[in-house]
Amino acid sequence: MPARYQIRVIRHFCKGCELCVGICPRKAIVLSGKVNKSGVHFPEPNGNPCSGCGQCAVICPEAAIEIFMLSDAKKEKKQ
Amino acid sequence: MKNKRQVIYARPASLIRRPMHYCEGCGHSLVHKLMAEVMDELRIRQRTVGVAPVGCAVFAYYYLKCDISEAPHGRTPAVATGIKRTRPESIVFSYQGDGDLAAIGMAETIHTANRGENITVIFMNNTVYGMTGGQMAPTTLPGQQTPTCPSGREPQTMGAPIRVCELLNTLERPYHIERVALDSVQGILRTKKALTTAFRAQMEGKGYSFVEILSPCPTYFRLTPRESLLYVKNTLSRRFPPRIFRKEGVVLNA
Amino acid sequence: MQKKKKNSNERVLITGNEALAEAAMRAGCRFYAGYPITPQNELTAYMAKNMPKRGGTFIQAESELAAINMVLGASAAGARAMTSSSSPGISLKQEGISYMAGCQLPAVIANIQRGGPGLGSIDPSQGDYFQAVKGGGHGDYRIIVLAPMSVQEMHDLTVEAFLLADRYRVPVMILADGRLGQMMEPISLHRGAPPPVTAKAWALTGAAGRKPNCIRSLLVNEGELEKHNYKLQKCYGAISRREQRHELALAGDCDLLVAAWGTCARIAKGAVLKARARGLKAGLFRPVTLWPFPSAPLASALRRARAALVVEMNCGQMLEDVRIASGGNAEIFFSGYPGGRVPSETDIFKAICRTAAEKRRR
Repeated sequence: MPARYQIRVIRHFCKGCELCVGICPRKAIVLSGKVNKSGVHFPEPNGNPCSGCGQCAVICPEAAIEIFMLSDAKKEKKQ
Repeated sequence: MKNKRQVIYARPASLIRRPMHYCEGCGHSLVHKLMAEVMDELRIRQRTVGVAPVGCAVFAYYYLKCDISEAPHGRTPAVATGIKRTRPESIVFSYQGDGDLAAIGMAETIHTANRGENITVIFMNNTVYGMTGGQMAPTTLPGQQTPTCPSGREPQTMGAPIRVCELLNTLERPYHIERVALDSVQGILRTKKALTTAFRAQMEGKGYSFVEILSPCPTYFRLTPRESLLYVKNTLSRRFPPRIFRKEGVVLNA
Repeated sequence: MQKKKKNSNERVLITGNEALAEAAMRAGCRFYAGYPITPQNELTAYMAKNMPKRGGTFIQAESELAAINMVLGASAAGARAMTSSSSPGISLKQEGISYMAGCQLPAVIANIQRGGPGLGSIDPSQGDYFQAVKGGGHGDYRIIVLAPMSVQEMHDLTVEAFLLADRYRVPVMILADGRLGQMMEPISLHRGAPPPVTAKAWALTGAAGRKPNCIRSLLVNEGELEKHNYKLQKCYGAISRREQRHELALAGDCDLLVAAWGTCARIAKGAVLKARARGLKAGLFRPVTLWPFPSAPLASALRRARAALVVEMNCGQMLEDVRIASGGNAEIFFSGYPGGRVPSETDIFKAICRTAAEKRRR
């Protein structure tokens, strides 16, 4: 089943503050095992369905998270 | 089945695409992001002129895609006054930390507010002097330890924390005075709303707007970013209550 | 009644302070921020009254410190901007001046000197030469310093100051004193439209259709600040080559060159003429630009005269630059009047006679 919402992390902007991981109500974003250029573990979507609530993007101090809605998703706005 | 992507949230265009030098979980990063969003949404980037402080945010011009000037420490509102009076059609903001606004620049802060200059002053209150090593600020809490009050701030000899919103609220001329807290997603959204209100007021020529933002400094709070937000919520907000003090020129009681 | 011709000489009887202010506005200055301090209050008051009439901005700032920073902002936004004060207030402005020099922001600062150091006195003095010419603020920078000696020059040099400031992107100081500020003389006012403000591509006008501009002096990356300093020095070199101004009187055959600036030069002129009448071959050297200091013409005049008497209303400040310029080719004498004392023509004449006698003894 295609995901409704998609999170994209700009990994080299991430400083590993983990605020997004902590705030996600669906646990849809977790710290990756990989590291970015600064040696920091950045978060990645883990496949759990994202509700598009946007809290991760709001709380990210680095504006490193972008959220997209895929066109075949239902048009429910969650905020 | 075509998967067409619709942007729900993207990095604001007014935020220059480069990593920010601030510490992880720093309030400056958050507020720069919010300011960029507001500049995008109000479509004012091309006529915005900012004045950056001396402090961690001295490099604001690396991140915000508008005309920016540095200023000597504390003089930011005076520089902003000069810019605004020269180009009244510009949207001018003064962005300052604790030392810049409430210590060395206190006279400029008060008098710019008192003259009711049609600018927006953004006060990043994190209770410490970050850039120079976390020293005591006018907003440091009693008992809080810093390199210049290693046994904790003693009000009897070092003064008590200053509540700048309350101070400015005694002046006649300010139009909007608000304190917000970066303590949660709601707090961040309220901060964005306050910044929008402030910039809108300036766009409409309504007068002086002041937004104090209780801000996390994980490095000198010696807490994780998540704990820092909670510290802002549970400790700082007690001493510096977030609320609107002046709205549309009218004093609002607590 | 005779119809006033369009280009007729506008002659007025006016104080130095007001002449300076009027000149600024005629030069296109449309932003003034200041703070009251004796003996320049007439300048601030004149601006308060007239700047709004000319469509400009007048602000009485909360301090001299705030005022220079408002000028910094106005200049950054592209305006012709000015502030004025007197000695203790100028001390407060040094930080702002250093920043403006570092940021290459044009502006005019008028110092109507009074006695110092500290709160000093309200009498005229020339005690701020070092402060004006040798730095004042921190870092390796220069400002152009102009020293008027009459109310006419208070007016004319101020118009020049704005042109120089814009041309080279430097702060320019008018170094006057309370005597010049307060005295009244008939002068001709600057005629014609203000010189057009050249487009300042670097100014903070809003980033529409261009990359954002940044006015800054913080350059922490390796080598950046060094490079910037060389750039500033190059600019100062150009100013030194092109903008030195001085006046020489009766220097062709003199054997004692009186060197003085500002009010002192004016008084010394009379003393030199008196000395000539008594058969003493005195001459006068007057720098009009204190920076760039007209070292070369002074040096050649000193090579001829072989002796100089520096007269200043201080304890010996331009004296040092005269010594440097002489390169050991002349005997340098000094007559100083610090702490708010203004010498009379007789005082300087007596000093000339004493020096002449001293020279004969040696």
